[in-house]
Amino acid sequence: MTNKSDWQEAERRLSAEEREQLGELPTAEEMLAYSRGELPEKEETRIHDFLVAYPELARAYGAPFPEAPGEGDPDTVSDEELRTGWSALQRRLGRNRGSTDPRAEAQRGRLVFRHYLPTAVAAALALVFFALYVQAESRARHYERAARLPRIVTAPLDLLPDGNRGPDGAATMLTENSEHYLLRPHLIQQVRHPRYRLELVDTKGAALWTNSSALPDAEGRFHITLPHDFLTAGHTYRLRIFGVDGEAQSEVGTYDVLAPAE
Amino acid sequence: MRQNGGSGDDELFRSLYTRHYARTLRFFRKVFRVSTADAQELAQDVFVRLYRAIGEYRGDSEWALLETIARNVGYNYIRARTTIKRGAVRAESLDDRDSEKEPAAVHVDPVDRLIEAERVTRLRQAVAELPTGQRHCLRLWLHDFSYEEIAQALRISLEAVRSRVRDAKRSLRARLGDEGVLPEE
Repeated sequence: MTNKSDWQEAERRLSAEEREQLGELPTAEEMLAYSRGELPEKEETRIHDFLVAYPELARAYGAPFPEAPGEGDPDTVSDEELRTGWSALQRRLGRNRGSTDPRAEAQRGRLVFRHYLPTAVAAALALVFFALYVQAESRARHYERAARLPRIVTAPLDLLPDGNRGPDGAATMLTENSEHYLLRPHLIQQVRHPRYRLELVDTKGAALWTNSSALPDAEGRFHITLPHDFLTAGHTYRLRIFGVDGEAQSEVGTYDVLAPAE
Repeated sequence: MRQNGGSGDDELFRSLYTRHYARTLRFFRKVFRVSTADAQELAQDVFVRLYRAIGEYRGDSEWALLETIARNVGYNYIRARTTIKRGAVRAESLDDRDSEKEPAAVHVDPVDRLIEAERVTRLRQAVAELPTGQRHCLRLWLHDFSYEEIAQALRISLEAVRSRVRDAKRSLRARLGDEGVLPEE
């Protein structure tokens, strides 16, 4: 009986001769097509010829992937080897950032994320507040600019005190005059007070605006310009006028007005 | 193809490297029988390719992706080595390195050497003239492939491998007599 090594020597010679005739090895794409059974029979036979003549190709194609080495296995990769491999890999990728330990880096990534989370939230809040501040500033500047501009004052809206507006006593619907409402509340009382205090309140009685220096004209009328934006469309407001004499004050008229709905 | 570009991809890449580097290294050492240095180089190639393809990774079958890349790197390695060898002197198999080791310095009678050479030639001829299927299976078996590995490589059934190897052995014995008897396993 011939021993196996003789047969293997015969096989090596045969393979060496065949390799000379077979030409270039199949590409990775051809091997992939072969593994999927996508090659015609003739091509598949050609691949078989290569697999036999180049047994390492057959192993690369068919050998199952070994399991990961366990504890104590000679193929186990130490942390040091892992770090060295990672560093070399980073260099090849052109991403050498001084990091050498993939495990530590992965852990550091999580820590960095946790560390920066509160900062990120604070930054987001700061951004929101800054945006609100800019918006408020912009609006204030807009009003300031608008206040300095000349504007046409059209016919004022005369307001009579409550109880003097007829049987229904409904709030007076404001009519728009350019960017402002021009109100002209009338005092009905003949008694004149040294000073007057004007107050605009909402339906809950909360004061939105007061003025203690205004004086009526000779016909007992005040002239008030009220920006549209100061009132909410569709809401009712009450203008109250008090006569002030020293420490004493008395209500001399109330005027309900309704901002028109948009 | 989407390239790696996000910190999420970086995290994933680190994680894949940490978990699979040792196994990839082992694949090249065992299957390709290359040195540790070559295995490290090949494993690096795998992870470079993985890094560039990670944008296509959908979060499942990570090992399938890595295995496909590793086998392709292996094919290219074999091709490159073969091309170099072919350009130099002759087309070689990586396995040839196993037989290139210096033999022990023993005296062999020239007549015995001639007889031995003629015997190997007869064996080679007999194997070459086997039917294709039997020849393929038997030759891989001579390279110490298991039946399962042969079936996997040639994409045929295990039973077909068994019968083809058996038939090949019978044919060789019929042709060469006692000289054509192969060891069972």
